[in-house]
Amino acid sequence: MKKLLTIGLKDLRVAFRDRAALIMLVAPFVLTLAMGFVTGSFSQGGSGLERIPIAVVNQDMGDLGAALTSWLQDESMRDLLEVTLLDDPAQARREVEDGRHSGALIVPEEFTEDVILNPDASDGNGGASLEFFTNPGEPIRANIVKSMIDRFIGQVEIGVVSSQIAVSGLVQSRLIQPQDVLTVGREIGERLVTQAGDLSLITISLGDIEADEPDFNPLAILAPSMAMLFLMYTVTSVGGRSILAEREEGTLSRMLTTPTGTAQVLGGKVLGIVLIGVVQVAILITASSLLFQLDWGDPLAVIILIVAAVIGATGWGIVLAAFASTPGQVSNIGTAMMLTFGLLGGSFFGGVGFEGLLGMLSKVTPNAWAQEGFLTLAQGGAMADVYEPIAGLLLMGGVLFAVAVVIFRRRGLNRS
Amino acid sequence: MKKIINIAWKDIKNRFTSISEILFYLVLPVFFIFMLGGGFEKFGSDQELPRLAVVDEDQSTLSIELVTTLMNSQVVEVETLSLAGAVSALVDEQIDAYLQIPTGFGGQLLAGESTELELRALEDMQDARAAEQEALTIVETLSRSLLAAHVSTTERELLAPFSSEIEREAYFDNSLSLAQDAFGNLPDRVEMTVPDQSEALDYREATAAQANAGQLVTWVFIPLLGTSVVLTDERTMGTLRRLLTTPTSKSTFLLGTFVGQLVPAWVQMALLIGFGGLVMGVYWGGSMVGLFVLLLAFSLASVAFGTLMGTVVKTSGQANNLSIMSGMAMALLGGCWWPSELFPDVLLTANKVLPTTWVMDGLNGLMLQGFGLMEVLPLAGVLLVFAVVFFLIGVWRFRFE
Repeated sequence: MKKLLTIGLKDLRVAFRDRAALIMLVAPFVLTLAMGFVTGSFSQGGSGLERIPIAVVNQDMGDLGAALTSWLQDESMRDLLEVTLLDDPAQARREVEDGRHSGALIVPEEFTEDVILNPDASDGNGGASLEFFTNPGEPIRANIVKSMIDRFIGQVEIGVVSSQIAVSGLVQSRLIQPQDVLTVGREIGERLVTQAGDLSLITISLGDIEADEPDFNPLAILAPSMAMLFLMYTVTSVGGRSILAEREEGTLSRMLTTPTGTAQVLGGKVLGIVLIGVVQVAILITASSLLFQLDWGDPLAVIILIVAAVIGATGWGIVLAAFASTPGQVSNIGTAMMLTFGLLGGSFFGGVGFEGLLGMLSKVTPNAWAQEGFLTLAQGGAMADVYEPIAGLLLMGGVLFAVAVVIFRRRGLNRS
Repeated sequence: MKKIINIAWKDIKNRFTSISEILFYLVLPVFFIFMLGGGFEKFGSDQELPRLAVVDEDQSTLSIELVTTLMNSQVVEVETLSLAGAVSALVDEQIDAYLQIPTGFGGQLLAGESTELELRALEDMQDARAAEQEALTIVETLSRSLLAAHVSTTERELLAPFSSEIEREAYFDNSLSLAQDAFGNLPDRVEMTVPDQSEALDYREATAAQANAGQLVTWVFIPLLGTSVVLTDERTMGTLRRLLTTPTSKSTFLLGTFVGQLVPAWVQMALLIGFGGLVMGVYWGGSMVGLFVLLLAFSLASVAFGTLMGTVVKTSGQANNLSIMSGMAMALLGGCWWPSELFPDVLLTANKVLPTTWVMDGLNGLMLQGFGLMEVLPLAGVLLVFAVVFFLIGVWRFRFE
């Protein structure tokens, strides 16, 4: 046991003395910081999807254009939109092209008339549309703003169609005269607007996790994603590589001339990789907790999950070292493995992985299991909620380690 | 000239000695472009639909109509289950979501009262979100028709009460049918337009194009930063010192090294652009000259930055790791992984110091905003300034030993 510890601690010291390895040990922290900036976690203004700048040109002669303009400028929309009112459609389009606005909403002159008096456009004359002139370089913003405008129009259309159907029924029942259609229709429409702010009879209560966790910090997903991405690099390119480097540099032969068995050497190397991995993830967790007040969840469960994640990842590092012939091969394949596992496990999408076949395939990566566990804990889960990812990671580490031992036995730890 | 070619050829041969280099040069970039650039959506049309269970506890005419409409959806696969069955199926992930229609649903709606349905979905699953969205859309469609029918019936009742409940129901049903027709015929009232010179790509095409461009930049940028590894390798192995004994100048050596890095990068970019265009259907813009100029300037800025890094680090291990880390960070902050329109304003100003920002702005402009050569030139100009500055500092700091 003492020999195992000595070898393991030596590897840990070497890793932290090597400036090259140090770069990769701090890499997840750097990338998490970058992701924090990208998602707006560190800035007052939030992400780029808040206060989207749009220009509005209202040329409508009726009330609808004014109502739409007023709704877009409403207090409830302040966080979403930054509206600039303009008079000239050409100027609005120009300003979008210059990048001053993400889009320009142009309300045509006859908009109210067409929407109210000819809602179904079945005669081909009622198709007056709002023009939303967009910056094609910002498709996401454009889509969001269009959804908001669609929502407003949808509400208006409910009122219009309801009034129209009601009036039509009253005329057919001979309860009103055709010349009263407009007046009665307007009265019904006004009554609808005053009766209900949101014209919907059926609402849906969603079992949505975000709704229950309004203060959830996106870094709680991003940081584990980056931790797992670079942990894979550490266990393969730093850890797995060190076994072959010792062989190539002759230190492994020297070690085996001492009364130290192959199993002890291999065990010590594995312990070293686990220690390096645990320290790397611990640095990220401690730093993000202190600097960004990031709550990772139940401390004991977090520690156990870290150890399990490192063991699962280390399994891959050892298997790679068992199969590879040179340290260079371990580095190259290790980097490829880190990137592929990162992609499959969802590290590049902020921890959200694939579904279906790819989702099943992602279960071979420690990234997917560990991120699931870290997310559960960050959302307030307890130890019992992360038994499955912990068991999955430990099983992965155990199986891979057994495979590596078999290969090392067959091929010899110190083969040339 | 011959010396430059010899040095470059030697570097290219060294780089591609190992087959694993092909992995980073082509296999992984193509894999990432396929996965992140919408390859599965493009080629996976026979994927399974999201699964939605409906728990109809009401069994009224209206609830049956809602279930039937859901069953006809082309977007989700719907089955009816009991509440216990749905909960168990959701826990076992056999379904993505379930919608519970409570007892009294039909009666409340006929009376014009609002009612609430419950929808439970798997957390953080795209299919669950898709099932949820489809359920919301269908319920909203039914809801607005019901509201119109209710308004119509109420208005009729205000002027002349119905003689019987049967007459009332008939009036309601007729109004509902008229409302469904009317809502079905509504024109799209919002027309999205783009500048004349731009290609009108839909949302998916536009975001897929951005993802393709981002991956192209990332996979070319990081190896070009690896110029630092070549320089440190030569220095630490003593081959640079040996060069001093030959009539080879510092500029000849550096030029040879640059060419040895740039030529494979240009070939790689051409291959990835070809893959994007031919396989993924990416529209790279109307100006191939603009694309060429932009990527040429970007590759020069990248190789110059790699040279600068090579003068800062001491070992090839440091150079390699710094290339990967800084390359990934600069790709992320420059908008290669996530569209920069999602970035906060402060970052959109700060990231102007990165070459990745300028090349992504140029590529987005070419693909989505109809940029031509003239619009690309200022961006390429900035990249060339980066190249000159990095190169001058790199040469100034460069030491053979």
